[in-house]
Amino acid sequence: MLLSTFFDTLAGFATDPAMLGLIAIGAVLGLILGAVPGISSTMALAILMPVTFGMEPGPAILFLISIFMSSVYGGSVSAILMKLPGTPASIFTQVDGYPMTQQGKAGQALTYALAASTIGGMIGLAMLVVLAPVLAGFATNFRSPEFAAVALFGIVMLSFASNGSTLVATVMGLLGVVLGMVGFDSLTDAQRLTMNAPALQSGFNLIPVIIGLFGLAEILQNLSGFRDKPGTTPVIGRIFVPFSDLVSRWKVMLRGSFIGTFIGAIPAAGSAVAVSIAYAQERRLSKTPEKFGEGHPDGLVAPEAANSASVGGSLVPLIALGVPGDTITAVLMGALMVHGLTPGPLLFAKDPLFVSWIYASVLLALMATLVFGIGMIRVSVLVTKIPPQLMQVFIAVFCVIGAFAIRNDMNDVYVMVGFGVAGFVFSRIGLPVTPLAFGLILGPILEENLRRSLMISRGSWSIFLERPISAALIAVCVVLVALPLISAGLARLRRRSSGAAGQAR
Amino acid sequence: MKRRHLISSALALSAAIGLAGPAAMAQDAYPAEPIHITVVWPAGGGHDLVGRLLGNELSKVMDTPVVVDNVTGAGGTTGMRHVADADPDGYTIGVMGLHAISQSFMNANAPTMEDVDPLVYISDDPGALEISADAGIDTLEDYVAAMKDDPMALMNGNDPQGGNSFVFANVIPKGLGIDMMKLPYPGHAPTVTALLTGEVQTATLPIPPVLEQAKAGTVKVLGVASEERHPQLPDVPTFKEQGYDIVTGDFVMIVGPKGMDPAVKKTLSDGILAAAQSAAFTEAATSNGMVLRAGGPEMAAAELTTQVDTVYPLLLDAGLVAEGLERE
Repeated sequence: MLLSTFFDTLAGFATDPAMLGLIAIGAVLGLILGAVPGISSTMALAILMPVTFGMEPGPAILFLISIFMSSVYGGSVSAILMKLPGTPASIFTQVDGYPMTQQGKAGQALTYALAASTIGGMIGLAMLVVLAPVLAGFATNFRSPEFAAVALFGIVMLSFASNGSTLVATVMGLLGVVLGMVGFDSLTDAQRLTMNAPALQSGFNLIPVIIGLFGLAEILQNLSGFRDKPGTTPVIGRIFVPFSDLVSRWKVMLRGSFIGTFIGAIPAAGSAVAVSIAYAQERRLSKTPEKFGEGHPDGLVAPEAANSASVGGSLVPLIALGVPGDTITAVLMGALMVHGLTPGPLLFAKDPLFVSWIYASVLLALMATLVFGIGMIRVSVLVTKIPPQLMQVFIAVFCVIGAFAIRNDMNDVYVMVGFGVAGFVFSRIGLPVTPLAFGLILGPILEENLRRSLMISRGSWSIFLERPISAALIAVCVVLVALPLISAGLARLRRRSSGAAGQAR
Repeated sequence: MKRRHLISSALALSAAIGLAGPAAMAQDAYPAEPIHITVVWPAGGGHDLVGRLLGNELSKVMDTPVVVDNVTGAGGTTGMRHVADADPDGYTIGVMGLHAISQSFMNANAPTMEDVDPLVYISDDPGALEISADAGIDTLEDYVAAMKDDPMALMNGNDPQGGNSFVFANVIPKGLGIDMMKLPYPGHAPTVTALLTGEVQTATLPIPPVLEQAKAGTVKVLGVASEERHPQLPDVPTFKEQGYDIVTGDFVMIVGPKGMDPAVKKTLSDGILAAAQSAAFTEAATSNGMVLRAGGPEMAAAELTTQVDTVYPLLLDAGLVAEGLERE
């Protein structure tokens, strides 16, 4: 019944030129706004929401969802071309996307990202349509202990997320966790590590830190290199990726999409967590993990698929429970309420037409993003033709705008500059910065939920083992940590038992 | 030739605009620039919605663009400071509620209520007590009995200290004569989620975030802490009707920096009031669960004073007033 309404709505939208025009405008605006660093999907929606006040509810939803979907991919464009994540969810896209640009493969990186984004979005939507009630049930099993366990799982995965020493990665991750504590404590509103300074009270927002660590640090790197040689523009190689190369990464896309949908469906976890775990997971499974961070397409495809799939996931709590799963769906819900359509727990039963509107809008928005995204690739790779001397200036300006725009706070610009210098120093002395970003994303989630769990259990740690999902996640963490130790121990035993090894010593 | 003509006319045009700008401002033709509404919470929250809905109407009333700026961080303090420190030219205003009063006593870096100028009172946001349908308790009487029997039986979800539902979670149990186990959540949406997943059984949220859940019956509102019943939930009795004298609530008002020119302030507050009373704003805000009670600067100032006098003793009682910020 829902499916037939869905197809009817889809056919209605797809054959109406006015609707198609709206989707096109929404997709283009979303692509552009998403690509501007500092304008997240949340802000793109909020900025354009008043435009829909005068529209009928159906077109308004269609317009907003096409902005939402296209801004998800748009955020990756600046990450790939300039090493500046446009949205928090694209922070792992640059790790392998930007090196590809440096190698003259910007077009290919964008193609991989767009393909992964489209496939991820489709899988997320399919799972939303078919499994929304199941996923909602899964999501409601997530209480504070489970959130804490997911964050712990992510932090354990951290050790697989970067090249080099696990110990160094862990220390950098912990540094990120500590940085996440600066500001107002989310449970008591007490100030921590602020020294009573207004600048520190706001805490370190993820976006200025990331823009500094990656974007500005990259400029500083290039500047220090300019002394010896004039910068060179990378040669633009072939723009599109052979279809067979895309198809051969279907496993990566599928894994990323499933992780994205499930984590997106957990209220409050959000796409930044989904992409972190998808990236670390892919690197862990990869046969060539050392190539991650140097332009490995898998390192680009996995987080992109997860990012886009998390959109479908994040709509699950909204549609099935009537609560927004993250800030983006909160803005969407606000816009729907303005149109007198309040997603509530009765939505499925009461208003299947409304639900199928949303589904059809997501599908058409994905299509529009694909079409306009392909068109945009040809134009946007031209960005890499800009002489590096000029390009560095553009990026520096974007760093400042992006850091400021996220909260309209000048302090964030100072934070960005500070982390830019820190990122430059870190890469000079060979410290990885990706784990720091991990710690900053996951640390606050772990801390908040760990403390709340202990408040619920009145101090007893057994709460984490009594609940099946959290116990299972913790068991996986233990195995992940223990596995390298066990295999190393076994290898040593084997060596000791064979006499040849003993002689070699 | 044609091109040169184009360039010179473009130059002339830009010069004209450049000259007209300051000239227009000198002739007190307020408003001559976009008005910025500061929202101290991220996009997607209740205040954000008020800012954007009101901004949309205000731009029609004042015939000038209205921009919403989310200046967030530090529990709303960064945004309040942004408003208090802005030039008092009538182009920067802010959406404010109870949080700003709490912060002014909890954080030495927060502007005090003397640093802002109340312009228009928008709405009341009464406190309430909600219980999950799964808890199997239908009346306030049963709830009070259960809590007296075992204060740990039902846990309450609320804001961190200083947020409105934290204040309600202090006032309501006191009025009911019970103890309440309070679990903090960073915001209203996570609190509703916790109520639905069953991590907490009760919540002390205002009505808007739980309105749809209450209508659907997944959440039951046991009592509303206002003099009159909530217009969107006419079947839910107030605490007073049930024999408990509990009246507490948040509010939404629009403030600006101190020191505005009286004429500008008059134009601005008249414009905001007209926007707040417009049919489009009234309809959207009411269906969202807001209890509109729009009023001009005098009423807003009087309400602010009353609220400060109500909230301060509560904060003092909870030990939240920071050193050096005590009132005499």
